[in-house]
Amino acid sequence: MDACSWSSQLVGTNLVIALVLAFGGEPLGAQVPVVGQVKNVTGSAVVVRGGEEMPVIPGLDLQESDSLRTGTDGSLGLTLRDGTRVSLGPDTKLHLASYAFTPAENQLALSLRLLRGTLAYVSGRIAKLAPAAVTIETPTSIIGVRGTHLLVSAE
Amino acid sequence: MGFHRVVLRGLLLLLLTAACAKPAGLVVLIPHPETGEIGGATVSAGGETVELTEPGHGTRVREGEQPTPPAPIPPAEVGQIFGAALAARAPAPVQFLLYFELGREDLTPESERSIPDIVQEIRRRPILDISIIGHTDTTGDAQFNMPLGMRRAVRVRDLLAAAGVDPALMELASHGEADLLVPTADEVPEPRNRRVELMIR
Repeated sequence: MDACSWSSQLVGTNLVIALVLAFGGEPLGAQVPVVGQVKNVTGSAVVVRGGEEMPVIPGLDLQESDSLRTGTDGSLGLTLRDGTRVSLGPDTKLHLASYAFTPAENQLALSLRLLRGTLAYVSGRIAKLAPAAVTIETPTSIIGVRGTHLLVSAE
Repeated sequence: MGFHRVVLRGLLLLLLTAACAKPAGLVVLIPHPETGEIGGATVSAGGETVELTEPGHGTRVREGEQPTPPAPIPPAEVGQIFGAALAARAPAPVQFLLYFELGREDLTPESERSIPDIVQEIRRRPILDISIIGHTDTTGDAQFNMPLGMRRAVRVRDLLAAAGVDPALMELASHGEADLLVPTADEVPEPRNRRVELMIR
């Protein structure tokens, strides 16, 4: 066996070991990775996932591509896996456009799209490790976030 | 003639409506709620980028226009617009580092003694999730260290579970020797790299 196929086999074996370690003995749960969790909700708020709408409750696990919407009396606060905190005021629509937090593989990304309303952002580890990886888009601008606490509104 | 006037009027109306409904936004930089750190941000629109570096400064952006130069935004306006979003902010996540004996999944005595503090922090939060990530130093090969990191994470989970923490709240992973806290060459025993990073969110 030449060096190349030997090393690729090693990589393959390692991957299998890593996967077994990551999931072995643990319930697999949802196939889609959890990117964060809603910590508090007041008033009305819904999450739109794969075209389905459901009410937001504290403890709800969030996925990439979720959209959150608060009513005129609503607000909510969430924490992403890297410790980033995002909270929304009333009459707000936010899309979790992309999220990646795997520092060991250098996969770091956070992009939020604020379509309407108000947002408070407190940076977490992604902004610390890779400031260029964090963006917030609004209908009128693109924001690059180096940290640490930012307020954004969109009409 | 008549047709053109109708089109012209329609166009004018459309332009007016667009001008009235022109979306606008505001971006304000404020100090970190716990550390007071300032940080910074760039705001890009209409081919122009402005930089926010001062606490309390902000920029306004209308659709298709460039961001206004950074300037102080009156606190009353910040409170009025962002009060509800600020009030909804989740509690700050807390991170703990736990250290381990060389080549084993046994915690150092000092780290083992910090378990009650961690349990106390967990009990303070009604809605929480916890990540437990095991790491190793570069002693031994990567294939040994990946499972060692996981055994360390499992040990921490078991200690917390024994203290009454629901195991379902804890997400485990190993980075083996791939994510050193203190960069070293291969085969270097480094106590600070033999760790579990625990984040309570």
